[in-house]
Amino acid sequence: MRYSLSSLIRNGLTGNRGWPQAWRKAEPKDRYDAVVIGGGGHGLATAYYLAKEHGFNNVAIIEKGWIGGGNTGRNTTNVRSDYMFPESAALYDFSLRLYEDLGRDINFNIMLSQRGWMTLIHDHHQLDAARHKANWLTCNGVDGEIIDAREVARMMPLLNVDGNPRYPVMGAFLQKRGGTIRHDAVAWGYARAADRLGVDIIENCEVLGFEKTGGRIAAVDTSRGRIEAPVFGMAVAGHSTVIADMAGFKLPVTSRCLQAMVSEPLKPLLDHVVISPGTGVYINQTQKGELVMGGVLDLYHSYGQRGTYPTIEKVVTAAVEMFPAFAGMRLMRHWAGIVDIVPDSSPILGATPVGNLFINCGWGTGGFKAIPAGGYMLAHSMATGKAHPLIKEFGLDRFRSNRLVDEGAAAGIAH
Amino acid sequence: MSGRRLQTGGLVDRTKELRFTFNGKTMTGYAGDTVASALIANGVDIVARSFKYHRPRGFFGAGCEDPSAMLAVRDQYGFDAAIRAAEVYLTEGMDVRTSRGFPSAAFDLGVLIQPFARFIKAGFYYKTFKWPNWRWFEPVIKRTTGFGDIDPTASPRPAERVHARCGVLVIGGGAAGLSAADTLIDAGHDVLIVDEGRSLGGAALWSGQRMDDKDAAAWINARVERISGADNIRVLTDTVVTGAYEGNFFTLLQSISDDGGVRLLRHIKLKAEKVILATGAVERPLVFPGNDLPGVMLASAACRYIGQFGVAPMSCLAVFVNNDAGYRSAIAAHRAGIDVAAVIDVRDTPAQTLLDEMSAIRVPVMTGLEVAAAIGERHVRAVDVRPLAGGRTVRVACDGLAVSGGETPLVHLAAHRGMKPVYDPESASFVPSNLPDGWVGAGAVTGPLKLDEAVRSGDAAARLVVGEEDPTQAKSANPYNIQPHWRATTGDPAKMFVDHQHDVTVADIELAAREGYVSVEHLKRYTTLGMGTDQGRTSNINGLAILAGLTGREIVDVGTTTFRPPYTAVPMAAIAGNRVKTFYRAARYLPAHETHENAGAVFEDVGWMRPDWYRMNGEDREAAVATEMAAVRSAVGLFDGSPLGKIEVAGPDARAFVDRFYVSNIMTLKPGRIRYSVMLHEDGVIFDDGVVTCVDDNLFIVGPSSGNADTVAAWLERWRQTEWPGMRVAVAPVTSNWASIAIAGPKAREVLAALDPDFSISGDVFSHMSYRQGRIAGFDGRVSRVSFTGELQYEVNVPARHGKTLLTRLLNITQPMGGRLVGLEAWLRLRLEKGYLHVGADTNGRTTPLDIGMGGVAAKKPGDFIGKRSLALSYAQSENREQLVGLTVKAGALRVGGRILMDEVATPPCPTAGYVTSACYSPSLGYYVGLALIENGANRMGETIKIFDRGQVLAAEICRPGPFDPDNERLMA
Amino acid sequence: MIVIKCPSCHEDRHEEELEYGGEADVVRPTPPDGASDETWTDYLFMRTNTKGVHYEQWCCRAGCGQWFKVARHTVSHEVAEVIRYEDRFAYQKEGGE
Repeated sequence: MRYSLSSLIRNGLTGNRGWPQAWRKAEPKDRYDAVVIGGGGHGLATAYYLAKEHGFNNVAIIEKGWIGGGNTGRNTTNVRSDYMFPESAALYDFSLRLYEDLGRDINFNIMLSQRGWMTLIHDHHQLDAARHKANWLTCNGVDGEIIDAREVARMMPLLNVDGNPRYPVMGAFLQKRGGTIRHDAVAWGYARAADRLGVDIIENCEVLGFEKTGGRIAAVDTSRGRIEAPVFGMAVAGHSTVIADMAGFKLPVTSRCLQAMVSEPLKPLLDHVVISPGTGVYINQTQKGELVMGGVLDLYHSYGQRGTYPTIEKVVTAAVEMFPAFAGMRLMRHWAGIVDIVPDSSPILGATPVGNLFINCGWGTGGFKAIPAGGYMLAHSMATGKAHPLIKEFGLDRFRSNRLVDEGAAAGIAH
Repeated sequence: MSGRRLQTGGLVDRTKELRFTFNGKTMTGYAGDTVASALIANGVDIVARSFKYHRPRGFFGAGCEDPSAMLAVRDQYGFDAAIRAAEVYLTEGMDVRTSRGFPSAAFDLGVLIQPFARFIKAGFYYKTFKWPNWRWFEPVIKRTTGFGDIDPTASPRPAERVHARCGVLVIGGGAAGLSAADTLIDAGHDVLIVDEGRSLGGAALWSGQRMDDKDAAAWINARVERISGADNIRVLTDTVVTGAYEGNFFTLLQSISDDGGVRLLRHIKLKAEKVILATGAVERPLVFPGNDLPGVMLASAACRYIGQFGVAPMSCLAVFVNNDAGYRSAIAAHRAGIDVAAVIDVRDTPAQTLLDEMSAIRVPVMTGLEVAAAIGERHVRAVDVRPLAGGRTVRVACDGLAVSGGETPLVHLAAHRGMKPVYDPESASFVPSNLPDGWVGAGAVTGPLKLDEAVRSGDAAARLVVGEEDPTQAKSANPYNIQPHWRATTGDPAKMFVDHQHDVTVADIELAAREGYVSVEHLKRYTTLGMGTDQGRTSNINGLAILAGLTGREIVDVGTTTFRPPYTAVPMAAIAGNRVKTFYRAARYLPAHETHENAGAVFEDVGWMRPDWYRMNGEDREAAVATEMAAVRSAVGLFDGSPLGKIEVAGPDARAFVDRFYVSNIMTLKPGRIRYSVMLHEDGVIFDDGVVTCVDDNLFIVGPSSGNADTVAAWLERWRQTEWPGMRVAVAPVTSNWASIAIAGPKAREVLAALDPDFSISGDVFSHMSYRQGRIAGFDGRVSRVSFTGELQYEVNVPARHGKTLLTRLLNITQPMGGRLVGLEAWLRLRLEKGYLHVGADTNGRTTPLDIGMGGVAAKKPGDFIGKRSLALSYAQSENREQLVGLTVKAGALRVGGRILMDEVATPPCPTAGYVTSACYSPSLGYYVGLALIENGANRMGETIKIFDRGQVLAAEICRPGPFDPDNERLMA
Repeated sequence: MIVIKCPSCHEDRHEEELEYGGEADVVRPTPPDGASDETWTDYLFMRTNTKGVHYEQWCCRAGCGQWFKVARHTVSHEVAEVIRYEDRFAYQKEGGE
C-alpha cells in the first residue's frame, strides 16, 4: 500500500486495520544471489539499490539484532556535504542529493529538514580555512557560504555572540542544504522499499563465520543457519574488524564510542544545526523540541555501547557556554554508538582481499549522512565487481600506497 | 475541582503557610508541600495538555513517575521552563505556570485536533508530508510540541561540582536502605546514604503500613535517629543518583534549598567501593478506556498525597486493582474521611484478610471485575465496571480513581551498567539479573515484597556487601498476589492510554504490531512510547506486555528497552557548573600580558592569548598591521614569541636522539649553532617545523612552533620511553619557563647592544643561525640569532618572571628609533614576504618534505628519521603532487583560499589543481605575494595561472617562495 | 569511568588524568628501510581492534608521565592487568616469548 494522505484518511476511517507490515519477517533461505551483512542504514540501502538499480531480486540482509539498531538509530541525525577533497565532496553530495529525493523515491517521509548547517568561525585562522572551504566547495559544485557575526546572531538569537563568550564568534560557514533527518525513518523506509522489491530482511541473525574456498566466500554461517551466495557485502560499522577477522583480512579501523544526548523538549528555540570548532560540540533541536547534542569521541577504543561521563560533561558544558540560556534546560537521556575510526577520517569502500566480499566501513562519526551513497556504492561493487568512479579514491588499497584522503578538518570533530 | 486540604494529617508544617501564584492567581500551601500537592489542595486538577491530542492532564503520580504535570516554575533563585510539579517543594512567592495548552491548560483550543485523532496514529508523519517538502510543515508541527518556552533573561541557577568517595553507597533511604545503613554503621563502615526525598524514610512514612504490628513510621523514625547519631555515615537527602558508570562511579544531583527555593545545585561525582541498591519500585497503572482522565491516579500517589501532604485529591474514591498493595489507598482514604465507593479487583478471590479489612471500614469489594471505562469529560465522574467473564456493566460514581497494576522495580542504575533485567512471571515484574561487581540489591528493587521483608533484605544486603556469608532469606514469591491484567479486555483501544505524556494508546501499539514494529526498540521509536520526560516509568512495562500479547510472545521474550542515563533529567546548569566564559577552558597568558594590553594589543586566542595587532592612533587592523610591518623593515620591531616551543634534550645521546626526529641531519650541528628543519609523523606527513639549537654536545634545544610546543614535547618523551628506552637522554619541556622577545629589523643589533650583553654580538662572531647564552638586560639569558622575518633578528630569552621587565626596557630603547610592537598578523605577513613556511597553513594532511623542497635534505641524511620510510611509498613518489610554491599578483588582490584552476577557460564547478595557502599585500614589494600548494608546482616556475576566489578569477605568477630580499642580504647583515 | 593504578607512581588515576595510546606491542620494523611496503603499512595503519581483552598503552599524563601497558576488556572496560612498559603481559610469558 502506498503511503499518502489519501491512504491515511482511508485507513483512519476504517480503524487503521488495513496497514500491512512495513517489511516481512523473512526466514532465511539456503541460497541467495547476494547477501548483505548488516541491517543498518547502509546495509538496507545496499539491498534496496541492488534490487532497484541492478535488478537483483533474490537478496538477503542479515542483521544481528533489529534493523537500524546500530549507529543508524544512535546518531545526532545531521546531514551535510561540506567536505573538502573533491572525491569526498562528490561522494557526500551524491548522498545528500539522494536524500533530497529519498522520501518520494521510497514513499516514506524521512523528514529531511534542510535548516542549514553552521560551522562557527572563532579566529582569523578559521576564517581563512572557511574561505578556502567556500571556494573549494564552489569548485566541487557544492553550496556553502560565509556569513558574518551579525547574521549568525540573527539566525540564532540565543547563541552568545556579544556577551564575552570564551570563543568569540566572527561569523560562520553555512551550508544551507545541510540539516537533519529523522534517523529511524531512513532504516524503516529503505527496509520497506527493499522488501517491496523482494529483499529478505532477516533480523536476529548473527554471523558466526565464513566458509571459504579458494580465496572466496562460499557461504556464511549464521545463528539461523548456513547461507550461500556468489557475492557478499558488509556494512557493519563498529564491528567491521570483527567481520573482517572472520573473513581473514586486516582493516585500519579502530572502534570508538561516540555519544549523543537530548534535553527535555521545549518550544522552538534553535532552528539550525550549529557546531563550534572551539568547543567541538554540535547541537540541533528536534521537531519534538529536544536539543540533540554531540561532541568528541570517547578517549579510548571501545565496543561498549555505553559512553563515559566526562564526555557528557564536556558536551553539556560547551552547550551552556555557547547558549547560556540552555543552563535552564535539562539533560534527559544520553547514549552511545560504536563508530569505525580510520586514520584519514574517510570511508573504506569497495573490494577486499576476499574476492567476492565487498566492504562499506570507516565512516567515522559521519556515517548517517552517507547512507544513501554508501548503500548505492556497495550495491554497485557487489553487482558489477568494480568500484564506482565516485569511490575509486576510497579503496582499502590506499593504505598501501599511503594516498590518504585526510578529511580530519571536515569531519567536524576532533579524532 | 475536587481536591482540598484535609483538616488534619500529613507531614506538612501547618504552622508555616506559604503564598504562591498559579497562572497569576494567588494561592496558599504549607511548608513541606510540593507544587503538586499545593495545587491539589487549591482544587486545581488540570495542569497540562498531552502532546498529540491535547487531552487534559492532571496529577497522575506523586513523584518522579508522574508523566504529565510538567510546569514552569520560578523561585527566588531561578526558573525552570518545564519541571515535574511533584518534585518541586513549594516556597514562598513561587510563580507557577502551565506551559501546555493555548490559551490555557484548562481551556485548550488544541482539542480541535481530537476529531482527527484517528488519522494521526503512530507513525503517521512517516506516511505523509513528503510532498512538496517536509521543511514547509516543520515549523507548524514544531510549535505544537515541547513543554513551554525558555526564559533567556533568567540567570542560571547557581551550581557547583564536587568530587567525593565513600566506602558503601546506599542508594535509597526507605525501609530497606535504612536497615542496611543501620547494619553497616554498626560494623564500622564508611557509609553514604542517598535519598531523593526531603528526609529519609521513603514510602513507609506515609503509606500507613504496619510492621511487627506497629506503625511503620515509628520504626523508620527510630532508625533515622540512630543514623543521625553515628559518625561513620553521611546522609544526602534531596539528592538523586542520576547515573552509574564503570568503576562504581556515580553522578548525583543534590538540590540545596532554603526558604527562597533551590539556591544551589550540587553535581557530585562519586566513587564508591561497594553499593547497596535500594531504590524501591514504582507502581504501574492499569490500562482501560479513559484511563488518562484527570482524577485517575496511581493508588500509591493517592496514598502519598493523603499521607505525606494531607491533601485529598478527591472526595469520593474508587479503587481498581489487580494486587493487594492497591488496597492501601482505600484504607488511607477512609482514614482521611474520604468516601470510598468501591474497590474493584480483577481477581476472583482476594485474600480474606483484605476482605475483612474492607468490610471493617464498610468499603464494598467487587471481585472478578474490571473497569471497562472511566467516564467524564474534563474529570472522572464515574467508572463503568464489568465482570471479566462478561456480563452487565455497572456504573460506580466517584470523582477519583486509584489504580494499581503492580510494581516495577527501579533497576535503572544497574541497567546503566549494562545489566539486563529479567521478567519474573510470578510477581509480574522485571527484576535485576546480575548486578555489577560490588553491588547488592535490597528491598523492592529486587522484586515486590512486604515491608518487614524489605527490612530483613536491607540487613542481609549489608552483611553480604561487606563480605559476610550469604544469609539467604525467605522471600515470598508473590507477596502482593498479583494477577496480571495488562489491558481492558474490550473497549476502544484508541481510548486506552499507555503513555500519558505522548498519547500512546493501545491502538498505536496494535498498529505498530500490525506493521511489524515488533522489536521492543522499534515499538518505542515508532510510537514514541516511553520516550517522554518520565522516561516511561509508568508506561514501558505495560506497553511491552501489551505488545507481547498482540504478537503471541511471552513477555520474557520481548524484553525491555535499554535504560539510559540520567535516571531523572538533570539541569544542564548543574553539569556545567561555573565552567563557562573564562572558566570554560583556562586561557594562557604571556608573561608580559599587561604590557601588551597597555600597548593596545587586540588579542586572539591561538592556544595562548596573543596580540594579533596593536590599536594605536585609531588605526584599524589593516592600517596597524602595515605600520607594524614598516617598522620592522625600516627600523625595528618587537614581537613576543614566548609561546614558541622550547624543549631541552640533555644527555650523552641527546644528539642522536634529536636526529631521529628531524628530516635534516643533526649529527653535524656544531655547538652554538642552530638548524631549521621539519618533523614528520611516521606516515611521512609534516606535522611541525622549527629550529634545533646545539648548546653543547650534551644539550640540545628543540624549538617547535608555538601551537605544537606541548604536542612535540609529549611526542619526544613518548618515543624516548617506549621505543628507545636505552638512550641516555632526558626531555624537559621548558616553554613556559622563558619569556622570549624577538627583535627584528635593521636596528636590531643596536637594540641588542643596548641590553648590555656580556658576550660579543658583532655580525662576524654572532652570525646568523647561532646561539649565545650569558648575561643580558641584567638577567641570565639565552639569545638566538634566527630570522622569521627576513630581517636581522634576535630572540632574547629571559626567565619568564622577568618578561615584563625585559619588554618594558626594550620598548624604552626602541621607541626613539621608530620601533614598535608587532602583532601576530604582521609577523606572519613579514615571513610571507620572505616565503617561510607556516606549518598547518601552508601544509596539509598530505604534505611531505618532498613537496616543500626538502627532498634533497631528506635524501642526503644518512640516518633514519621518523617518517622516512613512508617517503618511499608509492603515493609520496607519485606524479602531480601538490608542491609548495610562491605566488605574485601584480594586478588584483590575492587572498587565502583561492583555488588554482586547471586551465584558463574553466568556470566552477570544475577540477582544480591546488590552492592559495597564505597571501597578503607586501608593502615592501608593492604587490600581493603568497604561497600555494599546486600540483606539480615545482616544475611550473614562471607560469601564469588562474585562481578562483569568491566568484572572481585572478591571474598570478608562480615563483620561488619569498621574493623579498632573495639574496638574504638583510638577515645576514 | 576507567580508573587505573599507575604502575610507576602507584596512584589511582581516572581516565581524565590518563592518555590513551592505542594498541601495545605494535613492533616498529627495524631498520625501516628493510621493511616491505606491506610490513611498513601494517605497522602504520593496521590494528587488531580486539573486541574482548585488548593489550594497550596508557600514559599517566596528569601524574608521573610514564607510559605503561594495560590489558582491558573493550566491552566491559574491566582492567585485568597493568604492567610497566618494559614488562610483558602474563599471556606473553606463558607463550614463552
